[in-house]
Amino acid sequence: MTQDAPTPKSNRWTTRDVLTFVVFNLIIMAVTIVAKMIEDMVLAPQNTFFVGSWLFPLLATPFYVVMADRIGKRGVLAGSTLVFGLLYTFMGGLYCAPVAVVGALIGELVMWGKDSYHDIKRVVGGYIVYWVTFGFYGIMPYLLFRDAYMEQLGTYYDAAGVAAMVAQYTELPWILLMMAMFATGTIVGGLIGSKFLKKHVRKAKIA
Amino acid sequence: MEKCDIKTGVFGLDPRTHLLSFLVVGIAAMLVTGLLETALLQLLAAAYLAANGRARLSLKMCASFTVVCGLSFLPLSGLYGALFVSFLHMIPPFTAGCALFTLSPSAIMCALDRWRLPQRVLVGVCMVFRFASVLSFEARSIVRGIRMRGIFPHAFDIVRHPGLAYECVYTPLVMRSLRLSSELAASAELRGIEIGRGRTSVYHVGFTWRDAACLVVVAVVCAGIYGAGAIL
Repeated sequence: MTQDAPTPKSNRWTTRDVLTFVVFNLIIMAVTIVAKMIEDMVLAPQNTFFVGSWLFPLLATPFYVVMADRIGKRGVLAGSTLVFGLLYTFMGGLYCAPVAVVGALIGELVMWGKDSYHDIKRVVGGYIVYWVTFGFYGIMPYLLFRDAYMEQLGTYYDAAGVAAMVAQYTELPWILLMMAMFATGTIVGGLIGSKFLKKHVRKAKIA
Repeated sequence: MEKCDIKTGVFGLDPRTHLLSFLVVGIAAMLVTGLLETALLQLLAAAYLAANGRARLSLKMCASFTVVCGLSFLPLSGLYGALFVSFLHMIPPFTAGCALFTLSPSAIMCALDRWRLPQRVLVGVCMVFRFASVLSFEARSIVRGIRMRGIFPHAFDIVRHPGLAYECVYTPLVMRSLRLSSELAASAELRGIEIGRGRTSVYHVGFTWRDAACLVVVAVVCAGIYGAGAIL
């Protein structure tokens, strides 16, 4: 079989890279959605902000670290951002598509350079961009169609809950707090992921 | 020469029509707010799925919608919001999307290939359908393994040791995923997934007037449901 196998330094994605990317992104999405459902079940709407913002990246980053290390090629972060954005777009959030494209471009710029996906600090730094983009999926409806969105929220939540959510997604100090929590969760998740990568994955020599 | 490809459902629609219907119902699900409109949207999605040869699955999705709807009225903190806002609104697009998800990966790849999508994207899309069904099985296997080893004899132990619980799920899931992606990649390459253009399928792929008519009907009914909600 004469197939031009990519050299180790080639940036061309192999079928194995694509499959690894899909498998791990599915896991990341499943983990995030399950955590979101549980969080929504046990917490009041105004309190979910203080938990989800650090919990989701904390749970997802260790998986991302392994995926980035295994693929190690340009496009991992941009692809992951676009896949999550596409999911939200297909579930009715059309405004998520341009946000995801911008997030993907910024993320890939952050990861610019040789072997950046094998450098844990840069992997974590890039993944913070992913979660900041995720945060903007929540902010955008308030910026684009605030009244209609508040009316929709008002159908399901009480006035206090809606007021809290509007403040959390529109006022700058709250937004900065959310981004800081995303960054903290990603950094701690990255440390855990890095430890697991060395302790389990590299030792098993399958990554 | 007459084509004799396999058509699925009453209309034998192209996979891309299912993809566009999924998007249209998704947009409508986001725009509608009331329970009645969401239920009507679910009925539309269920009728669409049933017409595409998935009558039993359509009934199951309607039953799921009813159960979630009932649960959303339980007086628990946050539960109402979680189930009603997030989950209940996701069921109609997911029901319409099942017409696509349950198709053969071969038909989906062939249809998307006609849109000149890159080869890697096609492989990725098909892997989504292949692995999504395996993921729950893998998760159950990991939980079974943890129980057999007696790591967490009681459910409360998971709350007491969340770090260990995460590691116990994370490690086998990552190992299995890494192995699975290598094995599936080798299998796909052997079956000629990288062969390039000219992909064919035994299933029907191609737009006809039925695809256009079906899309128009779905879009008009969605607009009607949204319009009725706005007037009421």
